[in-house]
Amino acid sequence: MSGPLIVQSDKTLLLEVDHEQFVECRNAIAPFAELERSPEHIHTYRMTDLGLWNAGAAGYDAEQVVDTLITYSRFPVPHSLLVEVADTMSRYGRLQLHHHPAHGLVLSSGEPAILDEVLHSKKVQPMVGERIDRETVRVHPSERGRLKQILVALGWPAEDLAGYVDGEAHEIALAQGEWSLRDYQKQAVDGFLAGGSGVVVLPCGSGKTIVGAAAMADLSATTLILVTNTVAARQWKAELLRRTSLTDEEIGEYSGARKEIRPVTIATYQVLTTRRQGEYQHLDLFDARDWGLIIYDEVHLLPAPVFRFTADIQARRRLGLTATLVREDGREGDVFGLIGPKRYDAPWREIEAQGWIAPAECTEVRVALTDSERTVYAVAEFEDKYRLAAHAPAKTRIVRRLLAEHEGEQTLIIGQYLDQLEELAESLAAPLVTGKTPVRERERLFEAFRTGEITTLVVSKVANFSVDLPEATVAIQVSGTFGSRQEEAQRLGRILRPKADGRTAHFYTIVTRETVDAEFAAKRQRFLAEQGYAYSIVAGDDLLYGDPTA
Amino acid sequence: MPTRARSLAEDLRARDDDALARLLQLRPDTLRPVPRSFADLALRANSGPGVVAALDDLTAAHLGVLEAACALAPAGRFAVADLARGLDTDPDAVEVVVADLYDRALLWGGGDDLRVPSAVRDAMGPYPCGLDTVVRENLPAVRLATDDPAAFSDRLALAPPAARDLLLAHIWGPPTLPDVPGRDWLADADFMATDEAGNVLVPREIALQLRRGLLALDPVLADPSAAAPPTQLHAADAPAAHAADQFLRDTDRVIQQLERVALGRQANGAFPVRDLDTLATAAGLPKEGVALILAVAHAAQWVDYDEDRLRPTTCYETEFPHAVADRWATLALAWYQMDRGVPREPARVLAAAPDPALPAVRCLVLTGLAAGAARDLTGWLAWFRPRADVTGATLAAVTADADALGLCFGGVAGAGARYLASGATEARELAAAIAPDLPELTDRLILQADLTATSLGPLHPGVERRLGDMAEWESGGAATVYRFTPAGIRRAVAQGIDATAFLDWLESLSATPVPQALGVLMADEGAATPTLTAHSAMTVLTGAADAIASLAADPSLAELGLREVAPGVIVSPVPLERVSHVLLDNGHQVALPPGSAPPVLPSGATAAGTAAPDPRRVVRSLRGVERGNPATDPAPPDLAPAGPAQIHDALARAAAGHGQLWLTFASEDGERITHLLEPLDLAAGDVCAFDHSAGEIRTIPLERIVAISSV
Repeated sequence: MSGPLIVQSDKTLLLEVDHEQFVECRNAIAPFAELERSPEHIHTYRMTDLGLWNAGAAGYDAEQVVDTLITYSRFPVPHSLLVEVADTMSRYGRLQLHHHPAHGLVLSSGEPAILDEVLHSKKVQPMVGERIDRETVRVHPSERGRLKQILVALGWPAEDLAGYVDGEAHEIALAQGEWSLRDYQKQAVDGFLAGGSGVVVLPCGSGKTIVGAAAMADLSATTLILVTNTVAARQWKAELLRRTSLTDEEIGEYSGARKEIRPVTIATYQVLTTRRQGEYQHLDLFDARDWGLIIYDEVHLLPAPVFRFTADIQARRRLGLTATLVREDGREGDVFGLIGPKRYDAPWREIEAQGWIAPAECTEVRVALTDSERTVYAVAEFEDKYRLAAHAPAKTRIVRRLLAEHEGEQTLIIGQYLDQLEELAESLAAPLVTGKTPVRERERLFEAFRTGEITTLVVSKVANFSVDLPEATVAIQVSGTFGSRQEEAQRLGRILRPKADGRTAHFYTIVTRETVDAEFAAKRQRFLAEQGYAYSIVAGDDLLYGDPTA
Repeated sequence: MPTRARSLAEDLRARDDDALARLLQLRPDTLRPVPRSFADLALRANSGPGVVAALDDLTAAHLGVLEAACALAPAGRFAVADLARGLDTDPDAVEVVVADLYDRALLWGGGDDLRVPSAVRDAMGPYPCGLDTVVRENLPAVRLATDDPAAFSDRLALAPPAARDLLLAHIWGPPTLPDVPGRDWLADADFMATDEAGNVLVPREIALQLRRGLLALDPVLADPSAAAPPTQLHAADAPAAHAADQFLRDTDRVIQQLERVALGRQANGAFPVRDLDTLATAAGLPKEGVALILAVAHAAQWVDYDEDRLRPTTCYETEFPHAVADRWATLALAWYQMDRGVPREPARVLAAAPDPALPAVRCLVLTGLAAGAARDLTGWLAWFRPRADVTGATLAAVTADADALGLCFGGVAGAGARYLASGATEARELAAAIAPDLPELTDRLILQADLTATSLGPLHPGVERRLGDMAEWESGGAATVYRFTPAGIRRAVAQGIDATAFLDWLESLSATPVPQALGVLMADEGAATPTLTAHSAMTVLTGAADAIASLAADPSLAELGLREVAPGVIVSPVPLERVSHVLLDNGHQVALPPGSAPPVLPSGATAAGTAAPDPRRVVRSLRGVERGNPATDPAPPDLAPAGPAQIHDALARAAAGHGQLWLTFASEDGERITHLLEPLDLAAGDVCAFDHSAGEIRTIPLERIVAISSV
């Protein structure tokens, strides 16, 4: 047995976790291969054109990549693959975007034929100005991002040497105290700063906000932070106040409720995408100050209009943060194209092993429909089937049973359908937080939950993201947004903050067997399964009445 | 080399059997059709098309020497020393090349009496080495040039610059002078001659004088690429063997996917593009790769059309259990010999017109790669086969195919390519060449909670196939990744696979505990067992109950997959034609339903029939013809009538296995005769055989043969 890596002909890399060279090899391939999944024994990485070009942008050449593959590979690497890697990487940097002293932003190439080829594209033509000479063409500054995207699609990625604007300077320092950046947070910040723009992927509860804060401190510049909702905005503010030298006056909130523009401004995606008479009213926020950094929290949720606007601000540093770069709309490529390449990614289980997120057990509890429910389900229209299956009354009994089992533990009950959640809240006499709950009330309930005043909280998808409830140790999911993988992961993320007593978190998902609910559940679980979270499956009846075989 | 032969036929007759066999081997144009006598052989060796084909098989060194020979002795004979002088090179090196040309009957005679066959002269063109071939000793300027070179130089020095430049520009050919300024002075000074066609030429003697007697400026007698640093001989063996294993694995996957993805044939013979895309996606390969696999698998008779849908053949199923090396060798040989490549539109791979030149190009490419010419194949080809008309794109495509097949790795020849480059094409030997380097197969799996099964190495094909029945293939290469999905398990269960037994089997192979989620998935989906099982039955055979039962139990008919469904009724998933043929072959009489076509000859027999005749047997037969005294045969036996398939098979076996047969056939004048024959070649509906009874080589159309019996 030799190397830990198997290089597949489809450009996936299989890395054996138990191999003695696992860590060494992982570090060696990380610059050019994307971690695709990391279950218990074999991790899968994938080499993509974009990933190889990003490696090129980070200073790696084809020879290094090929050498790494050959060094760690257990079997001979297919020759065609090595040639393809070398070919792909050789395309990066033969076009360059840079500032010309006289003409401003220009696209140039030492090989006029390549410039001719890309300028022949009808998509490129509107983005460029006149040809200065055979090797240079002027570029409209506002098209820098879109042009780069199109050049990537054309297979001639440009090396962007035009640099970033520093933005308006603003002194920000990390607060001193009994804490310090964890190694992985430091690596993530370093990775980001080395590249200038990009995405950091870290598990829920592992301190992504702190990575943002550290990046801000390093750049010491005015910063625009985009978050999913007002509650998240306030959590960001609280965390920045705690972790940095920033004061209340220096941090503004730009949301439905307030419109403050300060050196550090936290805005919600929702307010940015609010339209009046067909016009986006607040997108000029991007130009409201000379921002030195823009942070996109939960970048996997970035809405389309923000994508479009992001293309216009390529001269500003951009940091994307997420736990689950899985977009159900398949626009991961746009995230990488417009925010920047992935600068850091850590498997969830590895952060767990280091003790920075709580260990978690995932359980799928299967309930059955009664005969009469089954008949109703069988004849229902397809669009109603999921609602019927998700609403199975048997789920309520399971929730009660699980609450009894975890009595005294902070428990979230999470669901998709408001009527289902209302019924549950009523029958369990537990408070309910939904999109309709006023922000102030939400914050009060979350705070009461944090302090232990209430132990059970029923929440809708408003709590999917960015809600920091560190003491939650149990989550019970009664329904979800169809087959959304990232939602499942984010919901697990609600309970992954490490517990003071080191206890294991429990994530339950209650599924109605032999219905679309079970099919969606299988799809939803895929991301977590690929991160190494194995679901154990129990029958609801066994839970209620005991396993007869036990 | 014999000397003083008066003709090429005489020269050939005087050669020993080994030399003759070598000629027949080196010049396939002389072997087929089989020559009937030495005169016939000489005629064939000196025929225009045959010589052109033979020249196509020569290196630059051979062509250079042969051209020099033509230029040297326009009408007569010459010696090796003359050639060496004319080429200003080592006589020993010239001797080696001349010996080879002699072996090919492109030169004959010997010693100082070497001759060039007339067809070779014709093929070399009117001005070999840029020289006129007519001797013009009587021209004054020629006499001056040969008798008094100094005076000749003085006279040339008087020429006006235009005349001198024109002459000097043509001394290395072509010798024809255009009508430009200066030519008149040359004509007036007798520096020119006029041929029968009215061309104005530099006389060969004058050109040679100005060339200082040299026939060629820079003759190349050795492979220039031999000076390049040698590639490590076995460096590519292991990686190429891994690629070979991968190609076979990919082929299996594509073929097995044909059961799920219907790949049809349009009116123009091409696959529908969308179907090919679907197949490529299902197999996880680019469609160009799938097209290559389909072309090779088709050539290997592993897939074929069944009512316009491409499907695996019984041949594929029969060979599936064979060793990886053997199965790969079947594919590699099929590729090596097939007359198809992957066209620009991959969907047309089985529809595009065959290119009969492709096998020769593959042979050239592998020879070049085996010679270590990967870096400059085009340059090597210019040396090795200067007359070959092969584009750089074709060379690159064939090299890429050879890489994909695992014959080479990165253009460097592996053991398989070296074997084929040696000229041999025995499947078993080819398999043995790569077998030691093939990766070790594994049957261990790693089952993970994300519902995948991964093998950390090449899986046993049988394990891979069984896994593929139940799980979706996700990634291939040195390792294989399969994913279990509800749909895949349901499909497998619908095909009659028992999910519980399957899970037990998985557990037995798994290095890790079976994840609970997988067990539950299997249990859930496996619970819905169908109550009906569907089978395919393409051919139905009926007959007496015991006869039918014995057929079903006959192991020699195993390839037909016969299954008794009721007393006196058996079904087979194999097409009717094949069933009929196999039954006939095994001595069963079969009545075909009215309107059905007669059984087609098995492609295997056809392939055996197209193998080239054995040169040694042809030589023996030629000697037999020379002797002219027929052996006294034993009395011909009474032969039982035989059917066409039986006759064809017996002749093919005899042609391949050096056997003799009694044949009863109708002679050209309609007389029915029985002779003892030794088949030499079986092609184009004829058998060519040495007739021991008549002491001659004769060709008999197969339809005239009515009875046959082995000796």
